[in-house]
Amino acid sequence: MRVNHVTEDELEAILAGEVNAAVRDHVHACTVCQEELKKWEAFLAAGSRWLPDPQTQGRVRQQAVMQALRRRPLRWWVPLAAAAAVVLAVGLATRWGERPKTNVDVVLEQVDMTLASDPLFAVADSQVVRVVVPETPSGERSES
Amino acid sequence: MAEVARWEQPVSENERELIIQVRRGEREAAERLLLLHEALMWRVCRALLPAGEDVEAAVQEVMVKVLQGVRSFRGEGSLAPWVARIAVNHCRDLLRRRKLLSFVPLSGSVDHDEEERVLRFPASDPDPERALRAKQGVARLVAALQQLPHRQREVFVLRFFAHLDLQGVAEALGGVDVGTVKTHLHRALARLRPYVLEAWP
Repeated sequence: MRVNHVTEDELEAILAGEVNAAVRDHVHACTVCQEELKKWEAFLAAGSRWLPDPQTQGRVRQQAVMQALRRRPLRWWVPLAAAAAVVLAVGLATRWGERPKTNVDVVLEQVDMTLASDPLFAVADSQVVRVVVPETPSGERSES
Repeated sequence: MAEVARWEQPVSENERELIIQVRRGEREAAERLLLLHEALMWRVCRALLPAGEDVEAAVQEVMVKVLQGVRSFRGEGSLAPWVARIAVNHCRDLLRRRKLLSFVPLSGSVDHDEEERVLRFPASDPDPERALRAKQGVARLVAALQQLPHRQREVFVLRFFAHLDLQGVAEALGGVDVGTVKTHLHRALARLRPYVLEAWP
């Protein structure tokens, strides 16, 4: 059986409930250490009375929840950025709508109009027919 | 013998579920999550802030930081050391703002006016005599803790009032070495020992 009273390290272990057998045996047999441990327990027990009444605890908790989970206000630059994006989109759309017609668009429009007025004439008069049945140049007659 | 809760377990299923719900903005889950660690926050703030400081406001701010921070919490362990770290850092910020962090009282005497000022929480015990003894006990405890340098006080409070294990205390103090925690704890106990033996009834 040891005769020395508990050291600070052993005291820490005892107060944390992690004491070894040798220290425990000493404390059981030593009135000085028992007396000291009672004082430490009373000292630490006072800390458990640090909580306010349940109403105060509940109020503080609820206020914290409201504060933490409320929607954050928009930052000043967010509406500005949104407005700029809208202006840019409208500008681009307008420019795209006013772009000049290309040659392909003009040719396709003429084809549509011709086909709508007289489809047969359009086929006969088309460049395709002229290519398939080439016109005989003047002065070149068949000998047969 | 003082009963000490252990915090070595990984984050519980309950905590994990609550964290997910809080991230979705569910208020009831937020309240339940705070309730799990509420005592820790009150005790840490109460022990580390000086008399006259608004502990209620401090705890509320810590709670807000916990709920906002939990959205990005990636820890594997229990929330307790992480919550304690937020509370400790918040108290340090308040003390720095008031330029009190470097102040360490040299005298061992107890200021009885100070004792009266620190009794901010009403006693809930219906027996007036017992309530008075409880108040006096709390006042003596606060006065005793004021004898410690701030870092020793933090370690002592996290170990015995927030009930963190040594690893948890090390985490709560920003990942310091466990050996450093032991050294501070040893010194705190040595410093408090004569006070507890002589002044505690």
